[in-house]
Amino acid sequence: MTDLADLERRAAERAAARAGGEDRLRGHIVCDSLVRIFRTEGVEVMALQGLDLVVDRGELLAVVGASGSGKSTMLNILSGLDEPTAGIAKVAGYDLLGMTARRRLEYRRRIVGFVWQQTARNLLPYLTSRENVELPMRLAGKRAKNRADELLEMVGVGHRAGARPAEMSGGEQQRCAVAVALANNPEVLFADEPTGELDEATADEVFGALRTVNAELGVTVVVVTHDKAVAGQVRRAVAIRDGKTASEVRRSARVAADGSEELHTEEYAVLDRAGRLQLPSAFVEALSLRDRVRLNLETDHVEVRPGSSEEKR
Amino acid sequence: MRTLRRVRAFAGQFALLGALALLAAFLVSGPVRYADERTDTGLRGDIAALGSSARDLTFVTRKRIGVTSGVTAQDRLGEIRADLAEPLPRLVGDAWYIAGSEKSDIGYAGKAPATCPDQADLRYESGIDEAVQVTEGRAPQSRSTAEVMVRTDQAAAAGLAVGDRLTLTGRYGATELTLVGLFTARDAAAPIWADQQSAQVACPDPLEGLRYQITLLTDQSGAAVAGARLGDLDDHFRYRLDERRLTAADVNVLTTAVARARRTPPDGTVLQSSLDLTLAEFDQQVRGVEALLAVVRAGILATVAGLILLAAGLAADRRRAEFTLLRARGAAVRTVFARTLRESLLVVPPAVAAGWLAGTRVPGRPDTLEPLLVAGAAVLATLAVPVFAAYGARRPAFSGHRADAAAIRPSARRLTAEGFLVLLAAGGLYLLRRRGLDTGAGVDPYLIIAPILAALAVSILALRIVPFVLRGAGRLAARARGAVAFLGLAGAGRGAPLRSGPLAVLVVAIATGLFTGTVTSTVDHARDRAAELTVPADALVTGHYFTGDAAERVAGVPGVTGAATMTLEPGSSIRADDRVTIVQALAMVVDATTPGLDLPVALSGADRGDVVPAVVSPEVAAELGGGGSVSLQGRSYAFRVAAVRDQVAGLPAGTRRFVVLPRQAMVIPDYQPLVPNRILVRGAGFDEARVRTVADESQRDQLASVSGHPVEQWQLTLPATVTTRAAYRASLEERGVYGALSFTFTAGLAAAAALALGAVALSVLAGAPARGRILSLLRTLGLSGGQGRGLLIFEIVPMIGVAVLAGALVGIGLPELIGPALGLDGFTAGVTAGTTLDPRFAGGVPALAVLAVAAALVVENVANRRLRLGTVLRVGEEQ
Repeated sequence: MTDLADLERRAAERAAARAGGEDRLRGHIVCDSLVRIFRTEGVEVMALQGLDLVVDRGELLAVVGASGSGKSTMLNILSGLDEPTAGIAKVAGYDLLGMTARRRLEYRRRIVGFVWQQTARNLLPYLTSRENVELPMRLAGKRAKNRADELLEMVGVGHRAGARPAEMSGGEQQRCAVAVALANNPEVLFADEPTGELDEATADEVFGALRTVNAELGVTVVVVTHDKAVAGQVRRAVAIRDGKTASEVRRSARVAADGSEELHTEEYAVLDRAGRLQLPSAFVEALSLRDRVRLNLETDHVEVRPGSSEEKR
Repeated sequence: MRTLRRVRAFAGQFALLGALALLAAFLVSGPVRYADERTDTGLRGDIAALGSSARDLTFVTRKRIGVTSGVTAQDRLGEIRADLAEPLPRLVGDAWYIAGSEKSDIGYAGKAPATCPDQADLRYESGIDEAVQVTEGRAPQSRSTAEVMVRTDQAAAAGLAVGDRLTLTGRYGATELTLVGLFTARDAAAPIWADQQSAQVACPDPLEGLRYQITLLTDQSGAAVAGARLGDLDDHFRYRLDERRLTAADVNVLTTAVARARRTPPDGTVLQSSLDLTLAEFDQQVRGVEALLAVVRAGILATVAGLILLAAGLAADRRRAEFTLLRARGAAVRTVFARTLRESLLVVPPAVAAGWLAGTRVPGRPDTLEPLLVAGAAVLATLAVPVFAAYGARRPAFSGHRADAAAIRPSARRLTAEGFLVLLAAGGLYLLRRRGLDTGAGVDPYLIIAPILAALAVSILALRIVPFVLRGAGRLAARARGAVAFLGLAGAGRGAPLRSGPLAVLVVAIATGLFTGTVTSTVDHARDRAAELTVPADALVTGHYFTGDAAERVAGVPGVTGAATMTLEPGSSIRADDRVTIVQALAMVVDATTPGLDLPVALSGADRGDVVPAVVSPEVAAELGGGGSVSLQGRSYAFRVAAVRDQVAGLPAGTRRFVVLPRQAMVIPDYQPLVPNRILVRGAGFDEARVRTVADESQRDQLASVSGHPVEQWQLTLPATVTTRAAYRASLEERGVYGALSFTFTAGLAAAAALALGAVALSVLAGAPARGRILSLLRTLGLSGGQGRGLLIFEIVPMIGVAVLAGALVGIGLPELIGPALGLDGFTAGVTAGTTLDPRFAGGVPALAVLAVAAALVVENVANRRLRLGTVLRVGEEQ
């Protein structure tokens, strides 16, 4: 666990070095009241219902949510693959609303990298790992010598540089995909269920690779997953429910009384700008909260009681 | 209902399949009908232009001395007709019964016979009363003396008048006749007059000039009376082939029927007709044309069939997941087959019916194979999707199908099959070349299959060779900076660069188009050559004999820049110097320096001498040895063989035995000149009629100098004819069957081009989902729109490039390879010209390739217009 804390510190240092100062770390990714409505055959589906999210530079963030919660919609918007219906979405200073094609291309080439769930879809089957990593550089018109090998080495598949995807295991392919995503030295790396198709041990390897690049390169990493276990491996995990950020788990390293570092986990509910709050479903179920609740303002907290407590009694 | 819903769900795929089925049904009916119609029209035109002796079937009673016709056999006309072999009774239009004599000398009663009297045949002919208009006197009503009537123009020529009492003297007797009437034909063009044209023939003694041959018409009793006295009257049963009822399909069986009528004519008669020869010639032409058309049609149909298979394969592939799911839920392969068959049955048969209906609206004669081909198209298009679907569902891939290198590597079984196909094609071409066309009826199926096999074989070879080339190019591109070339070539060289299906279809289409183009330009070129050989100047004047100064006279005509005389003497005797051989050959004597003749320098630069250099044909050279002497117009000229040539300009095409002597080098005495019978005219814009007049003046002077008395124009045996090279070239195109040829070639070219584009579009469409997926990934990696299009070009260009190369190889090579089997000489007046390709066609192919790339970009743009990148990449949705 100390590794994690150490990595986080290094990531912050690298990110600060990249950004040019500690004060520039805030708000690397900003989503404000993000709304995305899909219309299919006359039916409107509100995938994002005013989502707020701020990610700092150099953070390793997990976005957790059940299927259909809107996490992938959010990621697509942040990746520049989709456009929000309303709200603000900014990544590294790029306003993702109304980007021109040229700017979008530049955004993809310079700012972001992607890793997708399906291992086979991240890599071109007829290119070797090295060629796959070199490809984004070629597309951007630049080619740094040895960078591909360095990246492959960094994610732990340096020995497979000459192999084609079909000759590699799923974990190796996915780690190679991380290297591909980093080829053009992006500021942000988005990973959509990067371990979804992998077994636990392999998933750990891939996640390890993500943590390494976060720490070594100071890249902001956003991992979308429905795997709650992943949340335990990052400093900050944001849960999305029904198109909104519902809660957040923060883990911080503290020095214990005996001098060793220990990790401290706290779960927060997220209060949006309008003052709305989503109660954890476990709380709602435990007290059978329905329709109306009573709120009492105390000196240092707000109390929530079931609305029909008299009847129960 | 559920089937209908499914069809609606996959409307695009079924619409494509339906459209192709419709197209196939239309192509096997409509254009074929039209081409057949053109062939028939041409054939009818050719038959209509024939003389009566060549197109009529005339049975004449066998001559027995002392037996003459009783002029009573009119009833046999119908009987004989009914007994003729099929299809003759059906094709015979008008029929006439004639009791007629041979040509006999006309004399005037009471006058001494002339030395070269005009001649006439006496005849009674059924149906004549309705065909004539008596203009002077009356129609014959013979009693004891036969009364006759004569057409006014013939009476004028022979100097006959109403009231003349004539004698007709034949081989076996003589009879008196009274000319009681003159008539004109109600319809001069009516076929009844076709064998009654007056003619002018030379007298037995050439110095006596010419005489007329006319026809004297009498009534039934007159014919009987006069015939008995003349000792010469035969029954003729004349049947006219009605060309309007004739189709090219009849020609073969008709030839057989006529030949049979010749072998076993009706009792006591013989057949007098050259119809079977005429028909045999046509049959050969029609068969040649049909062989060519069959190759083109087969190429086009194979392309359409290939497109149907591609479309069906695409449809089955897009629904692979559905079929896999069905199988997973317990459906048998049979169930998948039946399910898709029901869908196909809803779409394909109506489409085929519509196509056929449209085809039948095209005027023309349906081909005998038409129903079979339509049924074939229907079966193919109906079963294609079910078979593909069932095949795919046989081993359902529940985890998605592999697209990696192992799946792409061809199996040993496949390689063996491909090798076998290549061997089959090579063997087929070799055998076809050796064997030539099947001489049996109809089109040789081998001829149809061999070119398609060749195209397929070449496409397979390309399929196996090209990846190596691409891989090499890819290695080069990997070192360069750009991403598109590297990516495109890497994908093409290491993945599955070419799908065998689209490539094969494309190669067949392009090969068909180029084959068509090559044959067209080869035939054109050979015809140009034929025109150059036959008319080795701007015009050729043909006559009986001209004066020696005819060239100077013709050169005086305005517009003529030069003229040279030439003597052609068929059947001249040549005596070999060192062998006891006498050879017969066509002798040609001409000033060897005349431009356009292209004679060897040995002749054009020859010095005057007693032994002149000569060009001879290989056959003559073989028989003659080193030299000899040729007898020309009563004088012997010695020559030595200076060159051996297959063809010499100025000789009729196909002349196999000839000797050509340089006139300018020959010692020709003034007292025994070599009289010319051809004049080569150079110049432009001269008046042909004027040239003819001048030439005829020369002919008259020549004849006058020989006969010693003045000669009138009408006395010329062979009035001069002027054939310009342009007119001769044009006449080569006018043969009836060529109409169908040029139509099919034009249509074939257009169809091949359109289908090639269709194949490109279909293959782009087939690869669109996979490409969409890869493009999506690449877009997230920073691929720009322009780079995306560049990538498509890199994917498409190898296929189109390879298809064009392979297609060109087959298309241009085929006429060369199977040339002997095609018999192209038949279309070029016997001249063989090497295979040539018009630069326009050669340039058209790259143009088509560029168009194909453009079409591919458009299709790709439509197919992957909305790249929903996120969805494609995350969910793996392909559509």
